[in-house]
Amino acid sequence: MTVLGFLRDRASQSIRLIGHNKVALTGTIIIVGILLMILLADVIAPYDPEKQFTRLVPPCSEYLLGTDRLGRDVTSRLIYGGRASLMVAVVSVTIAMAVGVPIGLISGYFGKTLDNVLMRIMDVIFSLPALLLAITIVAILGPGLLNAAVAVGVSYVPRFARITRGPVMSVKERPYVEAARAIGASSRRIVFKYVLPNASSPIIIQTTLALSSAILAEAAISYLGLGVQPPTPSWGSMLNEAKLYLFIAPWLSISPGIAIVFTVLGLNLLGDGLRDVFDPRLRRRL
Amino acid sequence: MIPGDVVTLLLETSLALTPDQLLELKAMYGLDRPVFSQFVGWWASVLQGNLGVSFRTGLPVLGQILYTLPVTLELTLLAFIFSIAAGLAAGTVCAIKQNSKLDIGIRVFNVLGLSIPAFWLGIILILCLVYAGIYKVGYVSITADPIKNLMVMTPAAIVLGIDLTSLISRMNRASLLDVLRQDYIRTARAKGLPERLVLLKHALKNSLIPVVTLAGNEFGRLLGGAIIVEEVFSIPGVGRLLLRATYDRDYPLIQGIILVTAVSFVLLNLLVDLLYTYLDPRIRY
Amino acid sequence: MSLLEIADLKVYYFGREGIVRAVDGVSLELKPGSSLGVLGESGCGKSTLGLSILGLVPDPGKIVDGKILFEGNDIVGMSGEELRSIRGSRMSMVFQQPMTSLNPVLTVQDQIAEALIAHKDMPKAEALQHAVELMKTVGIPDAGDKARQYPHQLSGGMQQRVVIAMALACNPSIVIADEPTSALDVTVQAQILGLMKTMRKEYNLSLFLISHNLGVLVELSDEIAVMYAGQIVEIGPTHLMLKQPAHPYTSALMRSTITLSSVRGRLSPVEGMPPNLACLPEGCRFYPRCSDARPLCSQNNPALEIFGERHWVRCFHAH
Repeated sequence: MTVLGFLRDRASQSIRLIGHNKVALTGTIIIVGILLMILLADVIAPYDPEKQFTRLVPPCSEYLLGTDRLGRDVTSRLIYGGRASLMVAVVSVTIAMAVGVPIGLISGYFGKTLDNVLMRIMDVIFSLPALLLAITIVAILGPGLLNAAVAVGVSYVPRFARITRGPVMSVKERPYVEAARAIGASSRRIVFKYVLPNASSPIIIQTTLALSSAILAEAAISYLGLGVQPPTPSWGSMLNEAKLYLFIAPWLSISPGIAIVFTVLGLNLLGDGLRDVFDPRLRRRL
Repeated sequence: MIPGDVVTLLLETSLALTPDQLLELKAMYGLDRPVFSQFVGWWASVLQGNLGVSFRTGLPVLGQILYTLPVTLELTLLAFIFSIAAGLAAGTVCAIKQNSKLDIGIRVFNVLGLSIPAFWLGIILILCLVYAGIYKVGYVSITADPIKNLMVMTPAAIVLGIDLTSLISRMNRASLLDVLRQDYIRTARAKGLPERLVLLKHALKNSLIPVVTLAGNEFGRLLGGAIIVEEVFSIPGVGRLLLRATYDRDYPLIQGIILVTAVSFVLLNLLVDLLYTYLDPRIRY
Repeated sequence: MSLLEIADLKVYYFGREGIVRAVDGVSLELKPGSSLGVLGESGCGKSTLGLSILGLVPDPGKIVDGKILFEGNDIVGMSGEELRSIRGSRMSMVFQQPMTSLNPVLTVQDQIAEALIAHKDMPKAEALQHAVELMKTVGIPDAGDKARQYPHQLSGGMQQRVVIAMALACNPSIVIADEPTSALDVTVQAQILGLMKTMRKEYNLSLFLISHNLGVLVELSDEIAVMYAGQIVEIGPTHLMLKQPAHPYTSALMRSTITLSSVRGRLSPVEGMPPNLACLPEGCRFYPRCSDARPLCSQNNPALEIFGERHWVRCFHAH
């Protein structure tokens, strides 16, 4: 069975299981909803996010969520802003996975000194608060969407490394792996065929949770002016712009926050639900 | 070496310098030396207790950090205490009254608490408090006026600690539920001990072990969050200092802060390890 | 007057898969100073029986019917406070796994002294001292040093001695022991059994013993009650049970036990599997495994009837 085939089976099993778990289901619905909203931005958004109308209009029938300091429609900016926020999240988690999972695999599989060294490095990165690390990296690289994504991504690498390493270490001692080695299977084959599938569940769970943290992180970084730069809207940068007008135009500070809360909530629920779905049954199946 | 060299920035923001003056400035800050020697030189002076001088203000870095550190410590400590107290209480209630409405309600709060961006909560909180007339923006030092200080610091601490509270609450609930299922709890009840004693003496000490680990690991989260909470609430702590330094590309200052943070982390981890051995005798022997 | 009287006790677990009738109409008596053993396979409900005497049946279990009279008072329906005053002071319990029955983060001295402090209002220092004395009584060497140690630092045998010390602390009238030696090495088992015998005499205890191990019960009990699928199928004085087991199950159990005389022969285990307590058959519950089965047995469940002196059997064809 190839890795792909395995993943396909897992996917259909998981979908069925998710359907039964209320928490995961709620999360999935929210996420799908938000994704749709963002993908269909061009169709849904009432106005062009860059176009300027009357400034600082409170929510009304014409502008559902009001307009900002430059007269831009908040609703439209919110929808388009989701794109930037989610993009940063996805890019950063992809980076974290692309770097972290291999490190975890190598570290767990080859063990001994390599493992020690790699894990020490991971510990150092892990022990620094994500935001602090991200700010430092942005300070060096300069502000911007991509840099923020890289910064957040780097800070999540240890998480993925650790979560991959665990299952790898427990699986590599199993008899069927020894048997495979005895008949001369290459390390790479063993890793892909036996080891990786076992680690896939925790990785998936970690991905959803990392995505939710990444969105929060992007919001924080952009709010501080170090992330997505104007005039590109992102939920964080919108909050940054709203900062000065907090008491004059409070609606500007409220809506992006709610959008963030919903999205993160959806992802968290999905992650928690997946955790329930995977763990005990995983043990039973194995 | 770094895009947006500090000197260039200074040039942009302040006076027009002649090329000679520019060179002089560079020499003064050692920016003309190769990177490696700058690095070594910095460490040398650090070990002598000198963290360098801020590019922007010309004030010594160490001094600036020490000046702002107590503020951040106060904030973080308040947040930590709040998180632990609230988290333990909530988690314990959940475990004792499992599956009751209270349990479910608290768990919903937990998930929400982890989904809300702290700084946004802070903003909303400030909005509400100002409208209610309770809050006035602006930090007051604790020595000057303790009450006003706490009035500013408390909402900030709560906001900072929400994440951690939710995590602790969740972990405590799970841990306590697990402990209550254990045989030794049955033994304690079989001895006829009052339920309160069973809970506080037998159960809690055991259930705290994973909670302490969690708290120790996540303390860093507080420090990271402090940066942004200080910004929102205009509290002059190390976090805000770091932000200013980042905006100004004030390299020595940034380095200094990172160093101090790293050192505090190591000390903190040591402390957690010590606490751990106290709680779990199995590790001691 | 009996010290403990269990009358038609029914304890059921209400789970998602159905109702598990762990204890289904059990009546037993324990006289002062005597020792009763309950023999049965795993899953026959004997542990539940033991737990219900102290009101410790875990959720989702409930005492559905019957009475448990201790010194004339019914345990069933007692308030939490009343139960607490009995537990650990007038009746105490010894469990199977000493390692998990002791709290890993408290010293053994502390755990023994607790009962004294709670029930006898003893001041802490005195209780701790008393605990050390108790440890000496149960045969723990270097009691003074070991007292301040933690459970994981002691061997299995020592741990069980601590558990016994805990049970004896307040001088109870009854000690309920649920598989007290099953988790221990064979040599240690013998030691603990010896200890229990001595303690029984010294403290004038009544023992309520639960075990799947016939050897243990023979050592310690005056009477043995054989339990099967939630019911008592035979009860009588130990020596009678050994020589003349009346119920087919009891005979099968006797045969399957290795004794010195049977060492040369083949082992003859009891055929079949114990029934699922959630769905019990109509007739005699031992019917599927009985070598003596007849058509009547599959239709009706026999009642417990007198067979000999103080000897009762639940079988249509007892001989």
